[in-house]
Amino acid sequence: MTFRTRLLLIFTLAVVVSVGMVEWVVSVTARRAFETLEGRRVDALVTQFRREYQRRGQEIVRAVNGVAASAPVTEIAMASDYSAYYGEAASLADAHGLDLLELVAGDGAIVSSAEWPARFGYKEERRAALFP
Amino acid sequence: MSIGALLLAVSAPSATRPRYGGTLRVEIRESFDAADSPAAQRLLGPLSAGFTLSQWEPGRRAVYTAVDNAAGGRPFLDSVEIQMGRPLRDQSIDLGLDRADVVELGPEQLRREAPGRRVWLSAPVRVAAIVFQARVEDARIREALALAVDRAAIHNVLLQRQGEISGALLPQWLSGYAFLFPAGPDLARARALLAAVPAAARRLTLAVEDASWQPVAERIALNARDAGLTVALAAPHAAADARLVEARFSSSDPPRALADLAAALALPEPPRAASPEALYTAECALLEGFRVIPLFHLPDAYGVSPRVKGGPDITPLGEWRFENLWLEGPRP
Repeated sequence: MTFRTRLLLIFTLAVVVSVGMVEWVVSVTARRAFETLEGRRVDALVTQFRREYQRRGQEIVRAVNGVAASAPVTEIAMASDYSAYYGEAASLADAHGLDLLELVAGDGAIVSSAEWPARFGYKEERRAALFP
Repeated sequence: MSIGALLLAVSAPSATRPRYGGTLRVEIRESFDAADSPAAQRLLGPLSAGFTLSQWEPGRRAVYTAVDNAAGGRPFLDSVEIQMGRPLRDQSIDLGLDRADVVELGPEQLRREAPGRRVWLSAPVRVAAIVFQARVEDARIREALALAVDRAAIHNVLLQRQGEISGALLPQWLSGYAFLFPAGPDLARARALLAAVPAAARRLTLAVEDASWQPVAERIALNARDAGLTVALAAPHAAADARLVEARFSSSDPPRALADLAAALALPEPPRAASPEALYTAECALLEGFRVIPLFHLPDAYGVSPRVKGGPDITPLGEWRFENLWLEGPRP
């Protein structure tokens, strides 16, 4: 191999290695930067979701407290016969912006259900467990 | 006149004294094309005792004017105006807004107590029943549905205890034996019947004739689900395997009333029964095979404006008797 050829190979190798190194460094740095950015975005989204979830939870708590303190529910609580209040949950859910609402008697029987009105009088084990 | 009598005379409401004049505004669900059709005659026929038909707009409106020389004397009202084809909900709104004096009340309207509203009720003259189409051939499915329905819950809540729970076509007050037909649920037996039916066949579609019966149909579907039968609700008037219908009789003669109901429910005409035993046998024959499941006997119910006074208003059979009604005048 002539000196000229060797020199060409050395230069070529040096160029390829240096270009490869630069590309690897840039690629790693860029990936890390993107990962960091993506991580921050995900964190921000999770935080936002949690905050929204808590806000909605607080809204529901406020709405349920409002329902519990409302005149119709007080009337139902004092009534000896719930049959006249079959449609009450739907109107209360509408008034308080709730999608799901069930009014349940002390024995776990559904007095009124906004999402499934036909289920009045039914008892569920899950509910019965809440009212031992 | 003493001071006491004078005070009494001044404070006595004018409404207690009959007065002539005014138009009684009545709204009904049905709409009749001809005044002399049997359906129109059943409802409007009794008006002819004191009124004569003066205006007829087919399917929309009828006006009956008082007859001066009526057999029982001239009615207090000048006329009775009937608006036809009014949905129950609109009727109730019209009564609340003082745009009507007498309106029909469905279960939904009866549930909502309106202050100052009076209610006229007849004896139970209508039967609410599930009627199966001929294509539902398996009697076990029909019987299972009959055993699954919890009539008491529907009666207490959705019908607000109006009428009576029944497993018979004729009501107890008319036949005297309606209590002999079982009307209670028996989920265990319904499940046992359905266990012998292939799973793919354990489904039905149920339609209602009147939208006011939709909550009842939904409850029936829920009861059926508890027994293992899938009941899907079809749109009103859609082709369905079974229909929740109302049928009415207009005779206080039990055999004739049974024949009325059989005709309305598309059942075979029962033989003319000469004794209560024969009538019971005829009714048993109609209900055999569970082609029809009677659920409730219901009265005709009307919401009445407080300005309508006098009476009687409707007979136990739900016939209108408006000759002795009068309208309270405008307050000063």
